[in-house]
Amino acid sequence: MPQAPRVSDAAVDRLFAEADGARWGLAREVFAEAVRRGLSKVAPGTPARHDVADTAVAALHGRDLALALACAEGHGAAWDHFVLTYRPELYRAARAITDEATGRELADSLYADLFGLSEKDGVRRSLFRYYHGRAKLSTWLRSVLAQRHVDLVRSQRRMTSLDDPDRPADGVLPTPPAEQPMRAGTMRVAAAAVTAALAVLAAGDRVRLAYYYAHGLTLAQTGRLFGESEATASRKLERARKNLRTGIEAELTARRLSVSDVDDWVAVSRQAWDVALADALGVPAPQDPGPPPFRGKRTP
Amino acid sequence: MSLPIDPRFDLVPDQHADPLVASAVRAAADVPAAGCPDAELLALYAERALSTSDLALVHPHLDGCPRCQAIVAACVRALPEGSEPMSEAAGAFEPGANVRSWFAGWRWLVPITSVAAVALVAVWIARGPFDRVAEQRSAKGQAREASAPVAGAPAVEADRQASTSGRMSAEGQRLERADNAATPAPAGRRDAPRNEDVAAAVPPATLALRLPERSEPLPTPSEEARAKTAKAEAGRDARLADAAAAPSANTFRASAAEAPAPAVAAPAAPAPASASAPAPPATAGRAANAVGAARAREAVMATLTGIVTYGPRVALPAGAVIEVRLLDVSGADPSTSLRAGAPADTLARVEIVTRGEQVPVAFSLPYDPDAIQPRRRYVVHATIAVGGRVAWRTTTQHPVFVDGAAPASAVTIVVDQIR
Repeated sequence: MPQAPRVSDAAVDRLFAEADGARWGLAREVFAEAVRRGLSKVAPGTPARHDVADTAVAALHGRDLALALACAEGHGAAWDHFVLTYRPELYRAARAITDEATGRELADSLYADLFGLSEKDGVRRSLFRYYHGRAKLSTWLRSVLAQRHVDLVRSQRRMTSLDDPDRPADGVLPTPPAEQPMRAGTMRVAAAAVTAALAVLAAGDRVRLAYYYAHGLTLAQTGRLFGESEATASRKLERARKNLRTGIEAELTARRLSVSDVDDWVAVSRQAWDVALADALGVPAPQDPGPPPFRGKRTP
Repeated sequence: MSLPIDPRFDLVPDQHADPLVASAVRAAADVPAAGCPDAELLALYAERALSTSDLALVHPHLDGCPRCQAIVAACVRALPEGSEPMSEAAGAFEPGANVRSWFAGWRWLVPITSVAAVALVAVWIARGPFDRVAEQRSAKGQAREASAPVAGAPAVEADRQASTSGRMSAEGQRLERADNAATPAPAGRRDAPRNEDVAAAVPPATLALRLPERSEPLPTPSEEARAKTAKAEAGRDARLADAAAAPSANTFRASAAEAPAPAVAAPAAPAPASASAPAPPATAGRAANAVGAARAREAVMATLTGIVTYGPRVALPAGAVIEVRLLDVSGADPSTSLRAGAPADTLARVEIVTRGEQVPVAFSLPYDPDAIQPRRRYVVHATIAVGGRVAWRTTTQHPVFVDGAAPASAVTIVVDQIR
């Protein structure tokens, strides 16, 4: 359990003054408590020294934090200001994440939770209580929106039956013949080879491939995430792909299956290979204990 | 609340692949959400505004957590256009990040070095170096001719390359050599991998890498892109040629299309045609021929891929000839299956001579995409001849290019036994 940094009152006062919390009728103590709570979320190992804590406080987004706290308390003017300022951006972000109609619905449901339609012990519970001012409010809203979208998609995917007869047919592709033992065997070998080759890739390469191939980011977006130009992102992605190719060939050779043996199979079962790769990219290998747990403080 | 499934996450049913998906979904569901960083940290990561200490915690987690990867990806997509990263602190997980930041202060060296290099080249040219270089080459060439046999030089070079690529399989090395021999080095920098680049550079296994739909327009095909397209096709032709030479591989034998229009006849000539002739031993020679063929048809061909299969557990004897045809059946009766004498035009045709392989047998049918018209009806038709007699054939229609759209995935042609 990391030791909470000790914050000086002067630092909190400075931030409170900059945040203009009085504009929303926000009590200084409520603000100070939120600041301390936010600082307790910093990564473990942060020295509990005044100067370090004060620097961290100065880096907080005080104005956004004050607005969020006021909205959570139900301050009407603060809520009006929030809606006026952030709603267009929220809708735009929701549309960018998903389609128009779904995005609208997603943003509206987020609004409801931000306002705090649910109650616990007679107290309205606003989603704003999870905002700590480390990121800008707009950034946090985008992230919450993304989180909800991903969780929604994943939950729906879990609910979709693989045998659902209403699933759309794939063009002219008829149901595969029931007896194709050779194909099934090849598929297993292929999936194992892809998984094994990915497992030995460098972590950075693996994440890069996942962002590009599994999550559909463009080269520009991938590069932006890694702080690179599009050209650099392209070059590094190509290198990762080359490493993956070498790994797959080595795996196939180790399994006594040459590349030419699976050439035809890959040509006709690209979809299934895609599944194998997405599977391998998205899920840890069976012998893998899973992603390392995030050891920092977190909120639900 | 009913929301459509995001197509990026949706899957086409497949009886063999779906169990894999099911296990993947279950495994993904097991990743505990409580173990993930909160929304604020992920948002800061997406905007590259995390501190180095936070980054050291978040980045290893992201490597193994598909949920957080998806959230970060969605965050990046949701960023407003033109917004810049908030801080330079992020990126420390990338090796060499500190070096880059140090080097950033020396960027002025780049233009100065460029000017100096241009000046050096100008001086070198002004002094007439080409004559001297030509003389030196001539002298070296004479010495080499005197000391080494002429024949076998490509093989020596190929062996040298093979010895340097220890991890690759023999097949991989052969393909690599073919690609190297067939294509000159690209002249310029590659800014973004194109779909055809992926097809060229990635082996069959990694062809499975899904190329997501891009909202951004791809760059206009340049001279370099065209060269790469030719390289891709050359590599494919060389692989087909190698497959023909290999004892375990199918033999593809494509014939010219029986289409009336010259524009339609062009397609059938290409890819497999180079594989029909007995492959010469030197891979480089085959690849060079393939390059010529590829350039000749200017990369206008598309390929219809699929498998030919049947249900009964009957062994297919070696030497069986599988013929697949792309037919225009707009004039035929849609309520009946194909039969002899039905008015149908053959747009493309390929023959596969099996050497002991069993169904399903894959095929690649090159066709001219310009010959496909949305208002016409097209089907693929297959026969399997054993000993010169058609033993299996399609008895039901397998429509393709419905409304002019190319099949999204491989076509499965089921043939029935003729008794």
